[in-house]
Amino acid sequence: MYKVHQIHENLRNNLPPLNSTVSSAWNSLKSALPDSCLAQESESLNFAKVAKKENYEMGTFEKDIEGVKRSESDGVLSSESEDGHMGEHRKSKHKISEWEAGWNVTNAIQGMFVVSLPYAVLHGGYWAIIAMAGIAYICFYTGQILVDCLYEVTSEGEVVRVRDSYMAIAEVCWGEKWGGKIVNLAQLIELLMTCILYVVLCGDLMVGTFPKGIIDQRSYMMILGVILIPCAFLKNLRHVSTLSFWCTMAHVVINVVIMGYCLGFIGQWGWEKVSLKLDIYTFPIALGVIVFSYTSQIFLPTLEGNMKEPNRFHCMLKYSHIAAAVFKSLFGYVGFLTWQEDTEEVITNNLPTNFKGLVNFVLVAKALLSYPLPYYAAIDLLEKAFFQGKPETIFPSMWDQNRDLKSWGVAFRVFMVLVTVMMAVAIPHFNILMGFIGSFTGTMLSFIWPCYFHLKLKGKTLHWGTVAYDCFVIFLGVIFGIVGMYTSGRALNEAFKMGLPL
Amino acid sequence: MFYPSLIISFVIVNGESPVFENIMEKYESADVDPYYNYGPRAEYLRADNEEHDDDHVHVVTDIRGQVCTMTKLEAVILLRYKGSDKVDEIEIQMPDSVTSNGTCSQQVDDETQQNLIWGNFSLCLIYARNETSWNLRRILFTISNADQLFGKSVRGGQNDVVLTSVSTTAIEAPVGYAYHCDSDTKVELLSDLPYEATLVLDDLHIQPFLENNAEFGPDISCPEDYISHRRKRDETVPIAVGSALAVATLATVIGYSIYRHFKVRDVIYGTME
Repeated sequence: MYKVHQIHENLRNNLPPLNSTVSSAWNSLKSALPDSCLAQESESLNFAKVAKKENYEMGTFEKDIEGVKRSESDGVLSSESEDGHMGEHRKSKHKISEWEAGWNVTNAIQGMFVVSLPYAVLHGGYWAIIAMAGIAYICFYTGQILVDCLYEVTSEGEVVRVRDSYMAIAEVCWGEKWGGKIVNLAQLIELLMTCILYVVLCGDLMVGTFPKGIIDQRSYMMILGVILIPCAFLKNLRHVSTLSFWCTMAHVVINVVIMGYCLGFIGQWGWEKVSLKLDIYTFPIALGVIVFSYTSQIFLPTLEGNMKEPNRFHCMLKYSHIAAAVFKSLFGYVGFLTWQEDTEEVITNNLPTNFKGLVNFVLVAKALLSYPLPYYAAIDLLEKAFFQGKPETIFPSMWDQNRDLKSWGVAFRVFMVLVTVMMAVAIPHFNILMGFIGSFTGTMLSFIWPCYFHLKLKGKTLHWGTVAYDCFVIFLGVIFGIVGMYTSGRALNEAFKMGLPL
Repeated sequence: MFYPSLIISFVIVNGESPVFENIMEKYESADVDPYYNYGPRAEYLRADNEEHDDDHVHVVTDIRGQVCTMTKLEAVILLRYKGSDKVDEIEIQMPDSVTSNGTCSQQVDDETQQNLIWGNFSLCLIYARNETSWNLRRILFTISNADQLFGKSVRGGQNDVVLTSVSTTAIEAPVGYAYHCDSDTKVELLSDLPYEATLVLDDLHIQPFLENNAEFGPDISCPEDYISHRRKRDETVPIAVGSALAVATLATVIGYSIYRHFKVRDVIYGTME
């Protein structure tokens, strides 16, 4: 008894006390984490929103607090310069925080395809899970370099934002005439197809929940079109960010619900069923699902330009991609372990009926909440291209002096919602068609062009390792594009051979 | 159990009891041979049948003249020689006007049949029912007095070639309902002789075990038809929803225009001071 007491005394004297150990461990952990995202709000810097052609010639890259000087020199009142007239506080009122930008990126990269991830693990095994993490990193990298292309180092050594959009980068690299138009067209196609896909998916989900009802798929899509009409009134990115936040919440609910259900079967998980082999014939299917779920590059220039603190952009991008990779890998892995070979293409089909109905409803809500982001981005693109007022563009601006939409502006926006709904109703086999077209535009916008522009604009200043990595990503993009187009093309051919669906 | 109930059913249907008892015995004791030509047996129970020419509906009536089976169809039999290298096929088309006869019964678990006869050919449809539903249980196709088929003599010196369906067909409906299929229905027929056939039924509209009226009951459609019929019948829902969408669109645009008109007017009058 005495010996135990002695040992106890020795231990207490020699080991450091517990609470100081814990606190020192916590301090070292905190110092290891990057603190730029957790720091206090620094001074708000408004970078140049629109770099007109005259600015290049004038060679003045100014850090404008109000943007008034620049807009006056242009002589053209664009919507951004109207903001500048109103003063700084009005401008920053519509700017978004890094969290709001994060919800938007999460909306884009953690989309509806999450329900197909266990199916991807079925066909790809551990390689699919590795791909989920690897592709997340590559897309984070291309997003980063794309936004880097918006900045130039001036003669004084300052880093200044000289371009404000993907299109502007292309104009510099490929020439004024066609460069911008090509990228604009690719972006517009990708965005509109995403919108249409959400409507199609909603229709599919509703019909899947009520297969014997009198309402058919087309009618469901049109009913949902009525719900989407208010999207025409979205005025700025803050509204869209709020909707993206709720979309992320719906996504979290689906993840929690399905993973919780899977955890209930933990005793029956098939740990050994996850294959280590790489099957050449089935892996492309898995890869397609994974690759095209990470494409957010179209939104990044706009998001970064609208952030209150653009210096936190990289941090936001990193953590949203990490979160996406973790969630997706875990979901795909757990989903596959539960159902193994019986895993369906859409995991909700594996669920019991009542449960499936509930999850389907949440998925429909998620799709409806995901729709505003690509829709707003498409409208923004069209506005910048066609609705800035003469002499630059054919049509006058949709906005009046008070930043309210004009009536015909609303009519145009509602018309665009109708276009997406009508195309969803009318085009048969839309999923496969999107896979086919998306394999081309998606790989261009997300893999090939960011690296190409990066090399073109900054190639001279880059380390050879970075150059090699850029070339490697371009090569990967080409491979994904070809494989994607081939498999979708074949599937499309098969589908149309069977006749048009009714 | 079966025998007395059959008597009773024929008493009810036909209204005359003693005359049919002997015939019932004959019917009851005969072996049901799947390859036996059912044609002659029907004579025992055959009543006078007239051809109803309207829409080429072939009927079977009972002794009292009440219609118990109505059939409307177009049939083509594609006859092949089994095991031949060449793709030899004889196409036998059922004409519009055929002789129709058969048996009637209202008894549960009973079978009725209908023979459609033209030239040397006879198509026999055997219907069965239980308490709630009926189905087309078997189909027999008979070629009578067949000396030569496919350039060869009919084997075994048999004059009649009988082909029968292998399993219960999928054609079924509740009692009181008709089966309607505009799409093609194919039935495979086999024989112990080296012949086989595919029976293609088109524009099928049939109903056995009719009770009081010579009219088809409500339709049960085949699955292939369901989609195309649905399209014809259910266009109302998409049209209604599409109209609602159009109305919502117009309401939004017009509503916003009115709102803006009043708002701009207020601003103008407000700033005019």
